[in-house]
Amino acid sequence: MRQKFRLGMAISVFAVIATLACVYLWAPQMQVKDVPFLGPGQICDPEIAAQYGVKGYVEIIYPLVSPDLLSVDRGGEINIDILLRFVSYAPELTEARVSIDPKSPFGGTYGKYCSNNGTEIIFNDFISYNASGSITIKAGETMALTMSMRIPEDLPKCISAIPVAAIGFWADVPMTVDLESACGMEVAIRG
Amino acid sequence: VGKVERILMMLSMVLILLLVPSTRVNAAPYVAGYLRGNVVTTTKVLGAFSYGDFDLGSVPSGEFLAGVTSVAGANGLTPSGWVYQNGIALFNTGEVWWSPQEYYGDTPGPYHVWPVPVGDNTYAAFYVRMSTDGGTVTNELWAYPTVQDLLDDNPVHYQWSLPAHEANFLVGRQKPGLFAPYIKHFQVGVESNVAITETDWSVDCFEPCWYDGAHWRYYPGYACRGTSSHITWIGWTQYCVGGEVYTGVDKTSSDVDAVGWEYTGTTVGDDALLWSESGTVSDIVSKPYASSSKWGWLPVPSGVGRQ
Repeated sequence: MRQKFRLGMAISVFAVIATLACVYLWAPQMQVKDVPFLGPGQICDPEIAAQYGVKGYVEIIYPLVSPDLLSVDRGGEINIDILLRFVSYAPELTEARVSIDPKSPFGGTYGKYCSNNGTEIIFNDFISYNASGSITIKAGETMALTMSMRIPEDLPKCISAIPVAAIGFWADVPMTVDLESACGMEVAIRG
Repeated sequence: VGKVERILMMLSMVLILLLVPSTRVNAAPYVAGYLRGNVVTTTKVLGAFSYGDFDLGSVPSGEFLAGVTSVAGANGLTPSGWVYQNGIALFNTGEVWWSPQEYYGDTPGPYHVWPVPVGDNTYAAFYVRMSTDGGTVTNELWAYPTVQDLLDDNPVHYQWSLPAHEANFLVGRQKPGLFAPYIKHFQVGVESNVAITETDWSVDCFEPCWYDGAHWRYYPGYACRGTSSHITWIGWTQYCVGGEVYTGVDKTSSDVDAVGWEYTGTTVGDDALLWSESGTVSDIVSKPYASSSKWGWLPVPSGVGRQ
């Protein structure tokens, strides 16, 4: 009698747990995944990147630039060296295609208003590169580019500096910026 | 009988193991406010942030504190599985970087970018707007360096476009099924790559709202944590922003359509009320709320959106 009771209890417990498991497994909340906000530290970490299906990235690096040296007169032009480095985590990903067009909003735009009713000064209009269109970078390779920033003579006095931004690029892999080399970079406008 | 009992016990143990949620691999600490109301479609959402005065030097190098605006893409009321995010990340250098991103589920799109420095921790406000025309998602940021710039409405303006994958965004919440949790389709909150616990940091999030075709509107605001921040779903998989509770972060102030988050050691309750009002937004600045973008809608160039 006692054995039958214990067996009955075991079957009941099993039935309850099995029912819960069925409900849980078939219910939509069975799987929950995370939408991360990935920064360079995560994109550039192969293990973390792999968790999110990132097979490689293009990094924008500003080599050997001292922020103190970045200044230019109104009407003048300044050249800033840029490196594009493609890192692939997957053997089948042998190259990345990078598009260059500082006039396209798909490469980002930026500008400043000088007064409430004034028009926006678009900084992209001052920027060009020594390459344009679509370029291909092989895995492990680094491509050198020069960004030219030409400041118009009649730039409003309210603009005393322009941030240096990796504007005008988009790629078929994630792009990121080497924060250390880009830290605090802006072009001071003289005059 | 004993043998049958043992078998049943073992089967029960296996089933219990199946019921235990799997550990998340790279979850990020996150806390946010969401607009609680019936789900509606929209083509524009907006949120704003500012950083408080705290000891930046205590923040470890490489770690960031980001104000993150997230919205789910959809066709009508059916989520597409795409999530559009804008992060404004503060580093211990004091620099603030802006990064518009897009994800299909938890997989970043090819145009995940980290493009530009947009200011520093002393800035009066950063306004972020995401707009879609069905072909392009336009991410815009207005950075106001000083209170005077706010009063004069003189921001620095950034714009970054990404390909859209659906017709509209969603705001509000809905349940995809009887056993499913509420999905909160528009969230404005704070996320780090790892929990920053070395200083009592604070971030103000204000005016999360959506455009209804005539006005910028908000619903009552409620808190969600990184494990209850479900924002969209694909099939039977749901996606949480962040994925981890930002332990020790609480709301220290709140007003209509605004909340201040601070690391205090106390964790905000899930679904805690932030504000109870709903209405239309009025602000001292106007540019982020303008009905059209200066750069307008442009066709997606070839190569953009290629996976």
